Amino acid sequence: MLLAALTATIFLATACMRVAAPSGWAGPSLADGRLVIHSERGKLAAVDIDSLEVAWEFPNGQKHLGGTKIILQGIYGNPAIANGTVYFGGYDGWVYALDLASGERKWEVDVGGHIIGGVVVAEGLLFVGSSNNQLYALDPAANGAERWRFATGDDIWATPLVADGVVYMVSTDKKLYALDAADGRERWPKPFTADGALASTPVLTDGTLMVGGLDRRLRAVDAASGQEKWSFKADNWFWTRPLVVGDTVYAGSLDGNVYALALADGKRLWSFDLEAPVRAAPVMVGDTLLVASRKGRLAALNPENGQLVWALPIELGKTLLADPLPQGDVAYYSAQGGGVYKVTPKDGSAVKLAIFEPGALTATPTTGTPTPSPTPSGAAGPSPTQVGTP
Amino acid sequence: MSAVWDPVFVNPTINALVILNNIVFGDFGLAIIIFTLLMRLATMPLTLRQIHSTRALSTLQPKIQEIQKKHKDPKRRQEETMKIYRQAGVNPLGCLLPMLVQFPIWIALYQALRIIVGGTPESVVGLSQRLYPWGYIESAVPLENRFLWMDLGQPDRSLILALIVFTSTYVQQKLSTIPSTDPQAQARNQMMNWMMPLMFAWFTLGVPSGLAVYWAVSNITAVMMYYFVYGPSNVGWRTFFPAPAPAPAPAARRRNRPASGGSDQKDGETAAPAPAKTNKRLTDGRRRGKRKNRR
Repeated sequence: MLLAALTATIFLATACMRVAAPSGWAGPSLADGRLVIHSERGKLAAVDIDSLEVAWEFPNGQKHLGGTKIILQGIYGNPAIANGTVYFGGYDGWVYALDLASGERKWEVDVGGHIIGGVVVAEGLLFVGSSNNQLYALDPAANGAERWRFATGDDIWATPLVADGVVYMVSTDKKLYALDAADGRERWPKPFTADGALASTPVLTDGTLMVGGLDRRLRAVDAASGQEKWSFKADNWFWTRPLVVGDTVYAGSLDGNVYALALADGKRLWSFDLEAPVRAAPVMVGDTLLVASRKGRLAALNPENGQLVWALPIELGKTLLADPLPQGDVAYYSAQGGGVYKVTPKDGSAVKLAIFEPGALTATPTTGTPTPSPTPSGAAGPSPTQVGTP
Repeated sequence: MSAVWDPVFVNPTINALVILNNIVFGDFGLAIIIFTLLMRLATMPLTLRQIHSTRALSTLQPKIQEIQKKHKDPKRRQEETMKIYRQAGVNPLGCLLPMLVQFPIWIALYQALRIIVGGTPESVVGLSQRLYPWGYIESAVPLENRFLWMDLGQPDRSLILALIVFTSTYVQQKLSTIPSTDPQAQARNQMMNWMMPLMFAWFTLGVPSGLAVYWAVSNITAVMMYYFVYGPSNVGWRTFFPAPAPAPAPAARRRNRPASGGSDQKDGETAAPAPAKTNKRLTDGRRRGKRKNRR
């Protein structure tokens, strides 16, 4: 009996560990004075950037045209806004087009498979990859009608990059593809192949593609030929979108570091340890590099030497995985489970926008100190200041 | 806790599973099955000890019942019972200790499976912190979650897996239960024999099916071990169904009616309501007799 009770107790405890629900890590997007955010799990909201008034929320109980209830489950890629329309893909496998002003659904397309990357609108088409291994080119002007699709060998988790009529797209089949945006034909004789799955959104600069992989490497690939120029190995995966400024590449790794590498040869210039995995892309705001870790540690760095601009990093106490949105002299960070933070490097503040709290425009005290820090490069400094909650 | 627990138990399990996944050409379902079999093999000495102890305890039940009838003083009863155990060379905790030793391994496996087949992008980020920095292991990510009709990261809503888990748990539970002569203990055993399978079947509908595959394979392996140790005569299909009461003679039936079971019941038998029709009862009685002979 004792044995049975013990068994039951232990198995009850373990069985309580149910299936993890996807939370989503979509970052904010901004157009026409409207901030489009992943307000909470499985919800998209448009907020007036000045008044913080919520203009609309989606899906809010709406149903698909077939009659089933829309359950987004989560949104992972930042929404794309073009011509007054918000486009995004849900973890439910649907691509949605919503009117930015009213939130009204213009069209929806079920591509199947989870959509983990973002969507891109370029060359008159909308490009989106799915976990069903396919990259889709949809026509936004024709209610999302499919123009072409391209099959890879495994899931697509990253947002495609479109430049000069070419779609660059990575897949967890370890390959980087270059496709003709018009018809989906491959541009390279064969795709570039890495040693591990590729999941970071590529960036293109001066004919060089930068792409990170789950083989711990950040690679520079020649955009014309698909040949590798150099690679840099970290202690864990690269899942962030790299940032190229001038002749330096900045990329966060799940090993907790943000690396600054020479664009020419991949030589490490400096690194900064955030002590937790870095998935959120680094962004440049003015002359300050903002980086954030999964555990919510936010740091403002001097891009030249990686030294802290603030005396200490800010601890938001929230999970930060989404790519932030740099806008003028501020950057917007979306935390998982809701909450948008407006970060101003100049005064070292991280303010939680009181979007769903009527009566207050902003809340949360500032913490960072905008004084130059003597902290040596690569050190996180002493114990960080804790941000209070409103 | 997790500072020791994770590096010592969970992370090695995760990495071993991923290596197995690579060995079986990226079929993670097959990797789970092989891993479960290997774990069962590794803990076989403990499992066998547990089976033997359970078996030995069940054979001592008539003697223990005798002691319980004979001695009213609990202290004396305890002493005599322990004496019986000593004489037979049986440790009453013998069936419990091996299981306790195995628990950390099984729990680590549960946690590992949950992390690996979590099925969300967030869980993949979490996985990155647990994999060893070996290209052979990292090249396996993302793991293929499809196995047969299942998504190993999601619950199996088809009820097939729940049915398999229910049946295998029932059989395994039935084999590992120590038969008791005490009516109260019998009732408890019977309740547990149904409760546990039902509970696990219910869990199967809510946990990633990779975990349920593990439960099913683990149970089936345990049953097979029992079968090979004690042979088919002890693991017949009749073992797994509640035994109907033997057909009493009409006179005896009248006499027994008010008491319904109780002291007339034979050792190891489960109390069951009397069948409604005489001819049916006689048939059941014959079957019961055959089963007893087999035992």
